[in-house]
Amino acid sequence: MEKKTACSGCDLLIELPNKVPFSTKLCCPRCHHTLTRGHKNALDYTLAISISCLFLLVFSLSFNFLSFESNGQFREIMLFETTLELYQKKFYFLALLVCLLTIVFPASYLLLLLTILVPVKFQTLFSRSQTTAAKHPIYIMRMLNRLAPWIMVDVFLIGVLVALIKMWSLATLSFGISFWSYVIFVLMFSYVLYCADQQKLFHWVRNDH
Amino acid sequence: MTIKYSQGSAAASDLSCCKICAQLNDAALVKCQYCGENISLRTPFSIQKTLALLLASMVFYVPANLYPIMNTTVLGAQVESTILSGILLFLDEGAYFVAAVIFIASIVIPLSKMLAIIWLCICVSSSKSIKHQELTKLYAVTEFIGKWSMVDVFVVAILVALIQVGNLMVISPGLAAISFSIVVILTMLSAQSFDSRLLWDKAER
Repeated sequence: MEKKTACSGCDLLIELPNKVPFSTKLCCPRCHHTLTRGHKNALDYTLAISISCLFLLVFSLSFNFLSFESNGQFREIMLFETTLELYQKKFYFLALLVCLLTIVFPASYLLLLLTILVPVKFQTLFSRSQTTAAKHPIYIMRMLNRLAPWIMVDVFLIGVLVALIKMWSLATLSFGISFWSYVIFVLMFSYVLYCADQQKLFHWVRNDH
Repeated sequence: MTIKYSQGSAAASDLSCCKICAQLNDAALVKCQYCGENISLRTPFSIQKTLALLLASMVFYVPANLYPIMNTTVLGAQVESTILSGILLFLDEGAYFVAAVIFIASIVIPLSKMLAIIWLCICVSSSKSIKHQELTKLYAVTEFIGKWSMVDVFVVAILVALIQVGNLMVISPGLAAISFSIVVILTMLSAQSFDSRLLWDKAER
């Protein structure tokens, strides 16, 4: 069965094959916009990696992130203190922005994604009524679509590195255990975004009911 | 009003595609029959919205460069640094790599993004024929690099949290950090409201 749709980049009518071979990219023939990517077992991978991402995020939030030493002075910060310190200096907008872009948005993206994927995976366990099943994932899907461009965990990581290079000559800086878990979190999160594209999400949800 | 849609497009055969769920709908419908999202053949007032948001971001770009982005207090002496003075400081110290990273993230990317969006809008609204492939690529790059300008704001946030050594050395954010983050948000919204399908509705050169 082939599915008719239009390319979101240039509006060309195309027919999507139902099965995309592993590690191939499906592009629009006219504007070369990537439509979806083939994967062996995208649902299980996405589910597993999003759960580990959530654990890693909690881990990153609960231990020290960076430490700084200069002239006998020592300071350790946790990830959330980047927000807290801005808040205490009365830069409320910046505090909110940093908190949303690096912690709240990715966390809510993962949670929303799981509320879709878990019922799809364990259909038999969750025998939902037909009416709620039809409305609920669509609403979440729309939120996922809106959230995706505002997740800046990778940008934050580069920010950390630039900050370190900036301070290299002034002080000795070292990474805490949270930093490393945040690095893995960012890598895994990119993989989640890479795996669970719009086409695949809708494919899963449509098969669900 | 006669609007011509590109050959082979959904709009040309009176179908509108939902941006969220990729469902094809009858062009007469206002909401997607599958997910209920508002749909239209082309984003209404796409160019106007894009330019309005871009103009707003340009307004905020002025204080972002004039005001200090970071205030460093070392032993009671306060040093205010703007984006440009920060880069010059690193050049003086010989830290060319850091200077280059900051220069690209906070000056080259925002400016080239603004120019790219203006160029796309000019191309779409002019009566001349355009090059599809190049402009589509330009739009894709513009959308991709959008969020990377936020690096500067994050650097300030991290330094503010990290460098608090009693009265010895304290870093606090400046006004430019706020306006710069607004610039990034507005240019991202501007790029998002541009409808790339408009590019393909125009004749190929």
